This record gives sequence, structure tokens and C-alpha cells, in this order.
Amino acid sequence: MRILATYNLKGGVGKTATAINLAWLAASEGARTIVWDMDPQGAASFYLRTRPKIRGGSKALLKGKREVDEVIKGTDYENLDLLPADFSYRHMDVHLEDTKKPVKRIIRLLRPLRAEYDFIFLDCAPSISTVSETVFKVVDALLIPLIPTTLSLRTFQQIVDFLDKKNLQHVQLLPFFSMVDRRKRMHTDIMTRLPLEWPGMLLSSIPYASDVEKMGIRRSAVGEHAANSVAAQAYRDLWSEIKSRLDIY
Amino acid sequence: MSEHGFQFVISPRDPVETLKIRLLRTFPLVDDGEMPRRRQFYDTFDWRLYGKGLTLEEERTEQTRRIVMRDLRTGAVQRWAENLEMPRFAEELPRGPFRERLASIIEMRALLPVTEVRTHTHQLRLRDREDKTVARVEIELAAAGFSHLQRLGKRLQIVAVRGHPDPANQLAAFATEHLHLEPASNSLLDEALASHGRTAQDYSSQPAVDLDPREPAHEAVRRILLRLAHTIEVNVQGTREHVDTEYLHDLRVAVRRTRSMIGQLRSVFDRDQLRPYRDEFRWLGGITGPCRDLDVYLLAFDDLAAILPASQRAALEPFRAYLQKRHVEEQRRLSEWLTSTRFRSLMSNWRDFLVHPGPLYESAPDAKRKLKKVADERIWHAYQVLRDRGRAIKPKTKAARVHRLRIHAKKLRYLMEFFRGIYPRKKIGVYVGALKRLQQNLGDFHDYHVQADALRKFAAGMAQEGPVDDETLRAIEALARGLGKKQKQARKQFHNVFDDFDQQSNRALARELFRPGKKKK
Ligand SMILES: Nc1ncnc2c1ncn2[C@@H]1O[C@H](COP(=O)(O)OP(=O)(O)OP(=O)(O)O)[C@@H](O)[C@H]1O
Ligand SMILES: [Mg+2]
Repeated sequence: MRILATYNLKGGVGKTATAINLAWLAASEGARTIVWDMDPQGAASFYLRTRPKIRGGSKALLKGKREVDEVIKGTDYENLDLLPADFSYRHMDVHLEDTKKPVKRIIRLLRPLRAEYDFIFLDCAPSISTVSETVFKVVDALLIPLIPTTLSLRTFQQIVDFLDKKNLQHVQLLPFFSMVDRRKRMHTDIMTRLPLEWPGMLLSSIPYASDVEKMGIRRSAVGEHAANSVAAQAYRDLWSEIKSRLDIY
Repeated sequence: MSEHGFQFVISPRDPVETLKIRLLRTFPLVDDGEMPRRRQFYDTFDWRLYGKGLTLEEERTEQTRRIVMRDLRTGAVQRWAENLEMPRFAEELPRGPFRERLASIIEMRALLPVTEVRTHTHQLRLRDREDKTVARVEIELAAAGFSHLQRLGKRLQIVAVRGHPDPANQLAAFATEHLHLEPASNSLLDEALASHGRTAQDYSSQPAVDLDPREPAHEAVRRILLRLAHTIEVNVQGTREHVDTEYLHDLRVAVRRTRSMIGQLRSVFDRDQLRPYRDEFRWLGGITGPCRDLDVYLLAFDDLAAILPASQRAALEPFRAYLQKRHVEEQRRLSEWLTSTRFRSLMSNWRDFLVHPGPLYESAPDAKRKLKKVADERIWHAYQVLRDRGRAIKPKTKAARVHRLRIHAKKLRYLMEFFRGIYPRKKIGVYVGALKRLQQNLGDFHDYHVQADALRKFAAGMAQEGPVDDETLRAIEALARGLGKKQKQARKQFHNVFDDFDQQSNRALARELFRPGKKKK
């Protein structure tokens, strides 16, 4: 069992697209997979055609009033399940801070999932908060999509600094380039420079592609509605590289 | 979590097409077409997957081949791995979730083919307003058998997508009320097995024997011994072929149980009649030992090696090779013994004796007494011996006494397992649990000792065959010392573990369960 989170404190960089496409790949290879949509906006839930609603909200879940098992939803794909978002997740921080031990709470929630699933994808909201801090403590690796711009490199550095400050240097970071536009000079420049500065960087990257945007219309993974596209291939490459980093297959 | 789903049998007279049309007219189903498949089912000799409510199959279509794990009852897919042939052992699979899951269930056992089924499936899906699949429906035609095919019943399978039970429930209600289908009483696998005269779970290493507390003791004891004889025999072939290490293990456990039973319940037999079997089973225990010891080493090799620093581990490889070579030799010898006249006549005479003991046993003191009385006495006696000798062990007591205590614990354990059925289930379960923890500690203490000893002996044997690298000898010696250290730890823990076992509540439980002559409640 492995827990992977797509994370960046910057918004709109492809976190959700990555979580959905990688989870879909894992499931289509036969592994039992679940996406936990931790973003109150519920984009991941939307892609998986499920209403972003949990009875009793995140509070019931965190306080143990509702079992995780009762709120999990299957999807169109055999082996891919979803723990839907809930609008109340915007208060998740507050609920977590209320409770004495936020990490313990989340770990308790994850326990039944660990027993059942091979891969757990956490799709995080773009922020640094109690929630994300907790996520850092439970994941096997953080998948960090970066748009190759100077600005997003700064946010990456901020993440690294934050982890250092919190004594979480051991968290495995798997940054990769996302929404790459090879016609842009800045993109290609940064993409040649950064892997030298940061050898942990994944070599695969995701191009800027309309097939990814179409996920919102088709409400499906790229591999489903554009199996032979460049973008679908890019996600497949990214997934194999991640797996080999995690020492599987 | 178990899947939410239903299986119905379709009567042979109902054409599939009509059924499908009626479903399509009533529900907004998507027709995903038809799928012919060849499905070869696998399980371990002792049905570990079946026991967990799972099936494992190698599934082939025209284009694809995959290994699929399904829920036995609903047939819902749980996991699969693509483009792979069925492995013999879990560790032959590529590292990843499928292997991890499989290994956690079958451990060191080999996967064996159990049956082959060809299916032709009509696949349908029900979607909700968000266009999301919420239930899957399959109509399945099947035939079973390796060479000549036997037709099986047609089935309708409805599986709910998790978190969406209602649509599946509505489909199931329609199947019952309007299509007049009967729920399937068994799974596809069960039906396929039955079609060629097999049943699942026809082997278990802990077979249950029905016992009546009031029956004459000798009858119960003979039944238990017959069951053990059967366990010995069904494991012979797998042992000879070395399919996996568990056949020999189960065979040896059955031999030990037999010997323990013969020793502890000799009072229900005629002594002279029993004597030759006692000797012959001791022989059988002896000849099966060397192979098992080597199995244990080779299975645990990597864990053992982990005692050493990584830099020293490579030096152990020649030692592993030596053990493997020895294993081949011992395996050949064992295999010969197991086809020998000596072994075969032992088993057939023993069976004969158990079925027709002749009139002599009637004079045996306990033969005709009630089972419960005899069992209580034997268990209570074994318990007292264990308790008293355990209490007598002090930190300075010689190791040999601790080793003997392990035997006493085992004797008690076997007796309790034999007669488990005549005691209150929950209470005997609790007591067995307490005893198990003590046995674990005693077992560790013993195993570390024996292993360290054997390591040194093996090393000496290896040196006799030819020059051995100093590095290798040093690594083996370091390993033996590491084991010695672990043994000391186990000894240290013994006193606490024994006190736990001997605590007030357990003592009261033992009295309540076994003390002879106690008042009935
Ligand atoms: N590789 C890509 N090519 C083109 N469009 C993309 C790509 N990746 C994501 N998008 C689009 O960009 C938008 C943001 O993507 P996504 O939701 O995956 O990012 P996010 O980091 O999860 O955003 P948020 O921070 O809001 O959660 C979406 O409309 C998505 O369709
Ligand atoms: Mg998002």
C-alpha cells in the first residue's frame, strides 16, 4: 500500500489532473485504488462523476461519527474508488485544529483504506495548512506538478523550506513539470536548468494539451477519451517513472 | 469489505436473449457486448484463497491475458495483473501490490490449477443521472473441464458499484419478481468443481472431527487417529514432488500429533498391539526431519542473513548453495522412503488396526470410559505437569529443563486441539491462546538454540567437502552468535511469559474447563 499526494501550494498547476490520470492508470493495471478528494471545490469528485457531498460533512468524518467505509463511492472504473469532497472541507483545518491530534485523526481515517487499497491518492487543495501538514506526515511521496516558470520555482523552494522547518526533510518529493509549452522560451530554459540543480526531479513531464482540458467536458481520464494522445502517453511515462522510484514493478 | 452483489441461476429453458431484452426494456442499461473467456482457476493445496472468500484465475480472451482475483460470492473483480502467466509462488511475480496481496494470503504455498471454465458473458451497465456507472450486470454461460467440457448453469450476476446499493437492489428485485430467477446457491467455481466430482476445501491442515463427550473414549481416539493418518497420506505426493514446503510440514505435524496421541492415550489401547506403531512412527518422524530442517533454513535464509551487517551477507551465498545441494540429496532420500514397503505397510497396517482393533483393547483401562472423563483427566494431568515444572524454572535453571518444558506445553496443546470439540468453544479458545503465547516463547528459545547448533554442524560438513572461504566461515559463526543472543533474550522473557500464562484468571479457567470430578453447573 502506498499513499501519494498531489500537492502544490500554487493553484491551477495540474494537481487534480495528475491525481485522476495516475489513479486511473493504477486502477486500469489492476491495483485497487482510491482518490481522496481533499479540496472543498471538489474537482476530482466532478471528474469521477460523483456529487461532492458527504453526509454529516468532514466534521462527522473527522470526529469518527461516520465510518469512511460508508462514504466511499465507486466510479465508472472497476477498482477506482473515491472519497468525495465536501464543501465543509474548507473548515477541515478548523475541525482538525479542534481535535487534539490532527495527525492521529487522519491516520485513523486512513487505516481502513490502507487495509483495502493498493494506492491512495490524496488530491490536496492549494495551501499550506494543518491539513497539508498532516498529509506530509502520512504520505509515501509528494507528487508536485510545476509549471516551468520562475515564479513556480520559487513556490517549490517554499515547499522545501517549509518541510525543512517542520523537520519533514525525509518526505520523498517527486516534482515534475506540468502544462509544458515547448514553444515558450522560458519553459525550455527552465526545463534544462532545473534538473541539474534538483537531481530528484522526475524526467517525465506533462505537456500543455487540450485533451487534458477536455477531462472537464468528458468527465473521464485522458487515457479513456484520448488513449492514443500525447498527453495520455505522458501520463503513462510519468506513472512508470513514479513506480520505479517507489521500487515497484 | 465484501462486495454488494447478487447471483442468480437462469433456468436452461430461458433463452439469454429474451432475458437481456427484458432487462434492457426495463432499465436504461448500456450494452457493452459479449466477451468469451478461458478461465483457469488456481488455489493452494489447502485452499487459502477460497478460505478468504476469493478466487484466483488466469483469464484469457482473444487479445489479453491477465491474472484476476475475484470475490468468490459475487464474482466481482478485486485486483488483477496484466500480461502475466500464473506464477507457482507469489515471489515469482514482479514486485508490486498484486504480489504483496497474494503473498499475504498464500505465503510459501504453491498455486495449483483446480479447474478450467470457459465463459461467454453478456455485459451490461446501469448509469445514473450523472452518467456514472452504478451497477454492473452480467449474463454468463459457462462450461467446465480441462479436456472434455461439461456445461454449467447460466448465471445472472449483479454487482453494485460501491456506495450505490439501490440500483443493484432494484435490479435484483426485478430478477426475482419478474424474471422469476432463483438465487444461486453456490459460486461458479463450486459448480465447476462439482462437475468433475471435486469440492473446495477438501483439505485442511486442522481437520475437525465430530466428537460426542459421552461416546466411549477409544472410538473417538481412533477416529482422530484415522483423520491424522489421512492427513499424512494426502501430503505424501506433494512432499515427494516438493511442490512446496508445506506438504512436508503438514505431514510431520500429523506424525507428531499421532505420536503424541499414542503416547498420551495409550490407556485406551492394548499396549502390546500399540508398541510396533509407536516405534514405526518414531522412525517416520526421524526420516522426515533432515529435509524439514533444510526447508526451514532455506525459507528463513534471508531473514537470518539480515542479522548480519550488509557487508557480510554476500559471504553467506556459498553456504546457501551448500544447503541447497544438501536439500536435493535429502529430498531424494526422503522421496524413496515414502515409496518404501516399510512406509506403505506402516500406513496400511495402522489403518487396519484403527478400523478393526480386535477384541484386545476391551481390556484396556480407559477404552470404554466416556470420552469427556478421559479427556479431562489427560488434559488436567498434562496441565499440572506443565504448571509445576514451569514454576520450578528459575533464572539459573539449566537450558535442558526449559527445552523439556516445551515438550510438555506441546503435549498439552495437542490434547486440547484433539478434544477441542467437546469443550465450550469460546473458553477453550481463550485458553489455547494463552498457551500459544507460552509456546511461542519456548519455541523461540528452542529454535534459536537448535539453529545455532545446526549452523555450526553444517559449516563443519561444508568444510569436509572442500575448502571454504574464511569470510564464509566467519559469517556463519557471526550468524550462530547472533542466534545465541536472541536465545538469551527469549530466556529472559520466559519468566514474564510464564507468569502471564500462570496468572490467576488462566488458572481458574483451566480448573473450570478440565479439572476432573468437578461439579456440573
Ligand atoms: N497538461 C495540461 N494541459 C492543459 N490544461 C491543463 C493541463 N493540466 C491541467 N489543465 C487544466 O488546467 C486547469 C487546472 O488544472 P487542475 O485542476 O488539474 O489543477 P490544480 O492544481 O488541481 O488546481 P487547483 O489548485 O484549483 O486545485 C483545469 O482546467 C485543467 O483542465
Ligand atoms: Mg485541484
